[in-house]
Amino acid sequence: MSADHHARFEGLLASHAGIVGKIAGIYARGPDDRRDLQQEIATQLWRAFDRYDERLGKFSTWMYRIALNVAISHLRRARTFEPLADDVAAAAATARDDRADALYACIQAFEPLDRALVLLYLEDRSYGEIAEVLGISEANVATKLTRLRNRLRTQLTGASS
Amino acid sequence: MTMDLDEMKQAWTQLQARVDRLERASRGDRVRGALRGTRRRDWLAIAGWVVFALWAGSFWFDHREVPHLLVAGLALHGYAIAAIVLGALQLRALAALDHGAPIVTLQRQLAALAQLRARCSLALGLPWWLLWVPCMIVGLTWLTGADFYDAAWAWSSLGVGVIGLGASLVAARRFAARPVRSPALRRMIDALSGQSLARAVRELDQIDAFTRNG
Repeated sequence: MSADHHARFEGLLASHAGIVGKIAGIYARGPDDRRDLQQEIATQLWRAFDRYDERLGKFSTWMYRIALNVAISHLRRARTFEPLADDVAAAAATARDDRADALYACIQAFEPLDRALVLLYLEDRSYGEIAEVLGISEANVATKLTRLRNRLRTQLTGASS
Repeated sequence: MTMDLDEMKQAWTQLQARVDRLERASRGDRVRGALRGTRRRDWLAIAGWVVFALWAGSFWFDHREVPHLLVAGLALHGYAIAAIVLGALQLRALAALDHGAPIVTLQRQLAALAQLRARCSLALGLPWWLLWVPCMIVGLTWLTGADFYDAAWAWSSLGVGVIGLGASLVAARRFAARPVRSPALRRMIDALSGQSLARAVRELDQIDAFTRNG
């Protein structure tokens, strides 16, 4: 494995570190779990990096696929669900931003695959890219997103009243 | 509080800054260390069973004139070969995983792998209720060079093993729904009670439901 290859990976990982952090934030169950998950994602990204071909797609799409796959598997293994990662909740509370706090809590209550869908939507990914990351049709993405957005709206309204 | 879609996205963007801060606080150079080890562990288990198979094989061959030692050695040899085959099947399934594949594709493969693992755990775990008998016979003979075999002891121990096997299955089903602190014990109970298998099947169903339009 060349040093250039490793440096290129580290550079790409550093420039997309926010993706890993956010995914870990909505799938992990606390600070320690979040750190473990981040490390697990980074490890898996590195392992798969040899097979990444930039001609076949954007790095971010490839990264979303791998990171979400790792996070979903991690969550399925954990089995028990906690509503909100402690540190993110604490950060949200410090910033006194109820909206962000409530949004995070609502997303964390979703099923693992639905969380991925909502995260990609909130990350402003196109329906085409979301379909590509998830492996479902664009029509399916649109249908599910309509339902999930309505659910989010209802829950966020319900949480405040 | 009501939030329209733009506000949701705005709130999400605000979270980015906090996550970045947490990220900086927790980042270390731990990745490289974790890269090693995982695959090594999987191969080590297979290598261990290969050594065990060779040892058991040489034992029964050396004692082929003594029926109970031959049978005990063959039982252990057969088990070791089964462990190698099942381990290799799991490694092959692991190697075939493409972590860059679309999420539903990989999650479906992982659920299938979980099913395989659950079946392998049962197939390799339960026989130990009986296998400890030939293990004792072979181990004592190998260590001391003397044959302590007692047919009455062997058959009664096998009988106890059969009862223990049944009891462990019943107990696992009873404890399946109860909280257990030890992760290792939890895994054992889940495997014995069929929970692991049921969970893998449920995951496959969830993925199928997710891929269906609407």
